[in-house]
Amino acid sequence: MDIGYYPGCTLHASSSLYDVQSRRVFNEVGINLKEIEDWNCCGATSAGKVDDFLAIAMPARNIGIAEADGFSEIVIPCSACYSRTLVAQKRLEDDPLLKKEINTELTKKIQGTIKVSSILEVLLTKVASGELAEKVSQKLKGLKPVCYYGCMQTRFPYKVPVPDDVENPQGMETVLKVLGAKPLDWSYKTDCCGASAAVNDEEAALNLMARIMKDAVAREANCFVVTCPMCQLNMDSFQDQFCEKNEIKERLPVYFITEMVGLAMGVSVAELQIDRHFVESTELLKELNLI
Amino acid sequence: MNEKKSVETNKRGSVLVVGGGVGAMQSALDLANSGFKVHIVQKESSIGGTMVMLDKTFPTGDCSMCMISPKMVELGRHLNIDIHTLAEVESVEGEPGNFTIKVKQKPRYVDPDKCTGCGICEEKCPKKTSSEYEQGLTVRKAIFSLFPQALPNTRAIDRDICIYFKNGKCKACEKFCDANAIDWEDTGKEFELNVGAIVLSPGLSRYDAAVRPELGFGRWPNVVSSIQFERILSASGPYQGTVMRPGDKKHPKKVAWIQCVGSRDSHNANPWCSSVCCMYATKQAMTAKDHDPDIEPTIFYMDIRAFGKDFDKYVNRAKEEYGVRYQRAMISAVREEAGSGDLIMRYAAPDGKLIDEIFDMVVLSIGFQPHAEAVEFAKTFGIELDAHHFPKTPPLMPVQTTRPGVYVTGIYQGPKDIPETVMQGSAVAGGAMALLSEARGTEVVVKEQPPEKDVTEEEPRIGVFVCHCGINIASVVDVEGVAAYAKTLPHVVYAGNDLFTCSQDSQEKMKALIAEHRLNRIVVSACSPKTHEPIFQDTMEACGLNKYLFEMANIRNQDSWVHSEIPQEATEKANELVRMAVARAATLHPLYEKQIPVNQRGLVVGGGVAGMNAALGLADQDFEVVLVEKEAELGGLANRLTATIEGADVRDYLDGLIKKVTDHPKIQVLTNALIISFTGSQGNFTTEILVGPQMVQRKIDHGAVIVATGANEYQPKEYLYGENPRVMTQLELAERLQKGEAADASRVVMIQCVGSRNEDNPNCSRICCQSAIKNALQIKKTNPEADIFILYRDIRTYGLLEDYYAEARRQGILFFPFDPEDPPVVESLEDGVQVSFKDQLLDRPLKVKADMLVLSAGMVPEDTEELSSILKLARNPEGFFMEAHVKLRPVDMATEGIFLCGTAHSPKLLSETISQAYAAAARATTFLSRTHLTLSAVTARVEGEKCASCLVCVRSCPYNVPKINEEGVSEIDAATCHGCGICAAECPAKAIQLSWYEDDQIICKVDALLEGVL
Repeated sequence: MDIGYYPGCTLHASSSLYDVQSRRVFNEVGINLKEIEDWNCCGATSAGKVDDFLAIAMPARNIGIAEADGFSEIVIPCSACYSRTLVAQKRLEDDPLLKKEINTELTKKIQGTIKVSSILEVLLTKVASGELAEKVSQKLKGLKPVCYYGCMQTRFPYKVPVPDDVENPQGMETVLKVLGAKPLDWSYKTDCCGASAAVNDEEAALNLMARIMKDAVAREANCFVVTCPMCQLNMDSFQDQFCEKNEIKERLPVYFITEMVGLAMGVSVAELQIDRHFVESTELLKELNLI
Repeated sequence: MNEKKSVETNKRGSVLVVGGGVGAMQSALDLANSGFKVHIVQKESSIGGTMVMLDKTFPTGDCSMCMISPKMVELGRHLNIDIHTLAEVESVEGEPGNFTIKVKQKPRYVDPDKCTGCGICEEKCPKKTSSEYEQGLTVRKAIFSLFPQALPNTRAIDRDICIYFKNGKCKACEKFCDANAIDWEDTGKEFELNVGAIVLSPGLSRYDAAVRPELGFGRWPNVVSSIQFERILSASGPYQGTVMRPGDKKHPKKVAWIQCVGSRDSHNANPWCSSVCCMYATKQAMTAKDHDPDIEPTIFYMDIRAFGKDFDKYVNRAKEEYGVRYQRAMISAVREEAGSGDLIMRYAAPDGKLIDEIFDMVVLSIGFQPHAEAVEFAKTFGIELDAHHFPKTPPLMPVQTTRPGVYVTGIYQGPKDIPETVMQGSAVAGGAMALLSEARGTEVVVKEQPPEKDVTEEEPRIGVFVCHCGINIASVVDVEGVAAYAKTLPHVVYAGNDLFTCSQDSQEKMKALIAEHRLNRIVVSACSPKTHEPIFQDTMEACGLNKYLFEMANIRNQDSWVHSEIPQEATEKANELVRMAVARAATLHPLYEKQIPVNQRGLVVGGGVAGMNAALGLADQDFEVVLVEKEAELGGLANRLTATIEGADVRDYLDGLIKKVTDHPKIQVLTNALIISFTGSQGNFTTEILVGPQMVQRKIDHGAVIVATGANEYQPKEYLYGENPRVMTQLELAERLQKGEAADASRVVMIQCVGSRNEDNPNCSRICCQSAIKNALQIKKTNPEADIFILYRDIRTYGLLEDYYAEARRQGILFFPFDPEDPPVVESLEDGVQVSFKDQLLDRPLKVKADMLVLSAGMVPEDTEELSSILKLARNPEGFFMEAHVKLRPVDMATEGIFLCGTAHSPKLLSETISQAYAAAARATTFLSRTHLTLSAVTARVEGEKCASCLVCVRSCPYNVPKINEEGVSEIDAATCHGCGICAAECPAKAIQLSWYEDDQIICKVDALLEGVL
C-alpha cells in the first residue's frame, strides 16, 4: 500500500541514512513510502520563534499537498517535523478562521482529514497485525538497548492526542521486543539531549548528553535506539566529546529504530548504512553474531 | 438489652449496611445496640476495609488493628448483626421504611458452618499469587483469608488460580481439613432481604500511582506507595516491621514522601484533596523513625493540611521532636540512579535554585478516588452522583442522598479520616433510627436463657477441655497427655480432648458433659479468651451455669505457636498453664450483672445548631428531650452566619431548625438557663438548673447528656483590629457583604491563621481557609475587578473544598504564603490600611494599600470552666472537651452516658457539626432505647472497715469514680466503674477487690505454677 511520506530537511541531508532505512524497511512490510511533491520545510523550532502564523502555515502547506495528492495517511520520521505538523493540523481543526485564511493562499487546499503518523505508529500497526513478526529472520538476541525518545516525541506545545504514554512511552520497546531484543527501563527516556543548543550553548548541551549517557552505561545497556534524527545526531556525533569531558570510557552506538528493524529482517549493513555512524556501530553487531 | 416488640407498622425494624469498613461497623453496632436488626453486605471475603491495612493511626500512634479488632469481634458475635461477605446488592425496590433487596453472594467453596478458621488449608496450599492486602509486597495462597484477623475467619478459594479448578489436580486443602469444610460444589446463593433503610459505606478506591510513570511506581523498586509503606511498617507485614526497601532489602536512611500524588490535580489525577495524606505521611515519618532512629524523613508538600483536632500539635512534634523535615516543593519526576537503586529528586529551593537530592527510598502519598464501579453502584441504589462521582448530598445534611431512606457515610461520602468516619457512621445510624423509630425492636433476636443453677453449696467440679485446634496445638503439644495430666489435678472430675473446642458440635458435646458430670466450673485449654471466651460462656449459660465460673488457658498463642521448635517443653508449659487455670477455676464464684433502669429522657446542653440537631435526633425517635441554653435565644454562633461556601442559606436553615425545635412536642426548651449541679450515673442522672431571669430552680432526671456548648470567633488583638474600622474579621465581612455594604471595596487583603497555630493556641481552627475563599469569591461576584490578596501559611481546603480554592485562583484571587516568623506588618493610612509582606516567589517585599483588611480569626470554645467541673468532664488546654478516644469514640465522653458534639469538641464546619450532632444522638440512643442497662459484673468494691480514706484510689482512678461517702470511707459506684483494677492495685490497705480478679483468684495461679519449686 502507498503511504504519503514527508522526509523533512534532515532526512535529505544529515540524516539521509534514516531516509534510506525507512524506505527499505517499510518496503519489506508492504508499505510503499511515496514522498509528497514540492514539500517545504516544516518550520521546526525557528519558525515558531519568529512568527506564530508562519509556524502553522508552513507545515499546513504540506498537509494540503498530501491531501490533494490523495493520501489518507502521511508518515513523518523526524520528531520535530512530526510535532509541528500534528500541532498545525490540530490548530487548524480548532480554529476554522485560521484554516480559511491559510487555505486562501494555497492551491492544494487543506481538508484536515489526513492521518499524521509518526514512524513508530506505523510500525506498531505492523506489530499488531503480526506482519512484522513474520518478516523477522533473525532475532536480535544479546541486544540490550535503552530506547531514547527525546523531548519531542511525546510532548507537544498544544493539546493533541498523544499516541503513546507521555512520561514512559513504550513504542520502541514494543517493536524491539518483537525483534527479540531486551530493551531496558531507564531514567532519561524523554529527557532533552540539548537539541540545537549544541550549536549555540555547547557546554549546556554536552552536559545534558553526558547525563543521558551515564545512566545508559550504568544500566549496562549496549546501545541506544532512537527515532529522532536530532537526538541521533547529538548523541552520535558528540559522543567522543562529551564522554571524554566526563571521563566516560564506554561508547554506545546510537541506532535508528529502522536499522534495528532492517537488521532483524536480514537487510545488509551496507543497504542500511549502519557503518555511516560516528560511533563505531558494527563491532557490537559482529560480537552478537547479528552480522 | 433491647426488648423485642411487636408493633403495627409497615416499617421494618432492620437496616442494610453495604460495606465492611470502620464506618460500616460503627453504623451497624449503633443500630444493633439500639434495637434494630442489621444486615451487612460486604463485597470482600472479610470485613475490615482500609483501616485494617494500616499500621498505626494518627495522632495517637495507636495500632490500627488493635483498635479495630475488638469492634470486629463485637460485630461478629452480635446476635442482631448478620454479616454476608462475598456479597453484592443486585437490585433495590420499595420505599423508605420498606425496601426489598436482592443480594447475590459469590461462592466461597468453604462451608462457614464447618470451618473453624484453623488455617491449615492455607498453610498446605501450593499455589501462590500476589497478595492484595500486602499490596504486592508478598504472596498469598489460592485458599486464603484476606488477613490473619479476618472476620469471618472462614477461608475462601480464589477459583481463578486454584489448581483444582484450573486442571482438576491438587485438593491439598480438602486433604488436610479436619473439619471437612471444603465445598467444591458451592455455587453461591441469591437471596432477598427486607429492610427499612439502607446505609451505603463501600469506601473508596486508591489512586494508582502507576498512572504517572514519571514517579517511578512500578518501575523503580525503591519507590513505594503509602499503603505499601503501611504494610512495611506493620509488625504483621511482609518485613515484620523492619523498615527495608523492597529493591535490595537495605535499611534506608534518607526517605522522602511526595504529597498529593493523584490529588489536587486535574491532569491524569483527581482535583480534590484526599484529606488524610498530610497527616498520614507525618505519622509514617514518625513511626519509621521509631522503628529505626537513623532514618531521616523529608516530606515534600504544597500545603500541610493538619486541620483536625490537635493535628498541628502532632505536626509540630514531628518537626521538633522527631526532626522530620518539611520541604515546600513539589517533585515532578523521580529518577533512579542506575546501579545503586537510590532515587534522584529534583526540586526548587525557596530561593529558586534547583537542587538534585538523592534518597534511599521514596513514598508516594496516594489519594482516594471513587471505585471503578461507582456509577453502576449508584444506579443500583437509585442515588445521584456529583460531577466527581461522589454521592450528591445536601450541603447541610451530609449523610442524606437524593433517594429518601438511602444514606451514605464514611469516605464514600467524601475523603475524611477515621474519627470523622466513625462519627458519620453513628450519624447515619441516627438518621436511619429516626426514620424507623416506630419499628424499633420488631426484628431483634433476644437470647433466651434457662434459669441459673445455684452452685454456691457445691464443691467445685471442674471440667477441663483440651483443644487440638486441628494441628495448630496438637502438632506441638501432646494434647492427650495434657488432658490426662489435668485429670490428676484437684477438683477435676472430667478432662478430655476436642478437635476444635469452639466448633458447634463441640458445644453440644460440652453441654452433654456438663449435665453428665454435673460440672460447675469450666476450664478450656485452647486459644485466646479475647476471641473465644464469649463462645464458651454462652454454652455455659445455656446449661444454667453462671458465665463467671469460666477460665481459659491459652496453650496456642502463648504456647504451641511460639514454642513450635521445642515440643517437649511446650507440652510441659501446657501442663503448667492448665494447672494454673484449674487452680483459679476452683476459686471462682458466681458474679451477677446488675440491671439498672434507664430514664429514657435526654438532656442537651447548648441550643446552637449542634444542640438543636442532637435534640431533634432524639425527639424524632420519640424520646423526651430537655434542651438547655444559657442565652435568651437559640442558635448560637450560627446566628452570625450567612451562607455556606456551597451557597446554602444559613439563616433560612436556622429559622427552620429553631421552629422545628420549639414546635416539637417532645422537646422542652429552657433558655436563659444555667446548670448548677449534676449527679448520678449512666441511665440515671439528675441535673439542677436555674431558668430564666427569675432564676427558677428546675430539677431534671434523665438517662443521657449531650454536651453541645459551642464556640465563638476569636476576637483579635493583633493587626489593628478594634483600632481601625477598615480592619474586620471574616464573620464581620460576611455580614457586611450580605447587607450590601463593602460592595465598593476594590482592594482587599486577608490574613489567615489569626489567633490560631501560635503559642497560645497551637491548633488550626479549620474553617478559616474556606471562609476566606468563600468571602473572596463573594466579593468577586459583585465586583469582578476587585484585587484580593490572601496571605496564608497553608491553605487547608480539604476534601471536596479543594474545588473552591481552584476556582478562586482561576478568578484571579492572589495567594501569598508567609512564614510565622515573618508575619505581615499592618499600618493605618488616611484612606486605607497598608499591609507589608514578602512575596516568597519573587523574594521581594510588597506593600499593598487595602480598602479592607480582613482577619481570618479562629475559633475559641465557649467558656465552660464551671460547667466542666460541675459535669466532671475533661477539657484540653485550649478549652475544648476531651472525648473518650480520639479515633474510635469521637462523640463519647469518658463518663458513660455523656456525649459531645459540635464545636465544643473542636472547630468544624456547619455540615460537620450537623453530622456530629446526629452521631451524638445515635450514640445516646444506644442508652435511651433500653429500659434497662446491664452493668458488667467486673467492678471494684471497697471493704469500708479496711478503708483509711487515704484518697489514693480517688486520685488514681482514670474515670473519677471512687467517692468518699457519708461514713467517711471510699465507695465505688458499680454503675460507673470500668473494671480496670487500678484502684485495687494501688490501695495500700488492700481494701479494694476487683470482682473476678480478686487477690486469691490471682495468687492461686502463682502458687499453682510454683508448686514444688518454692
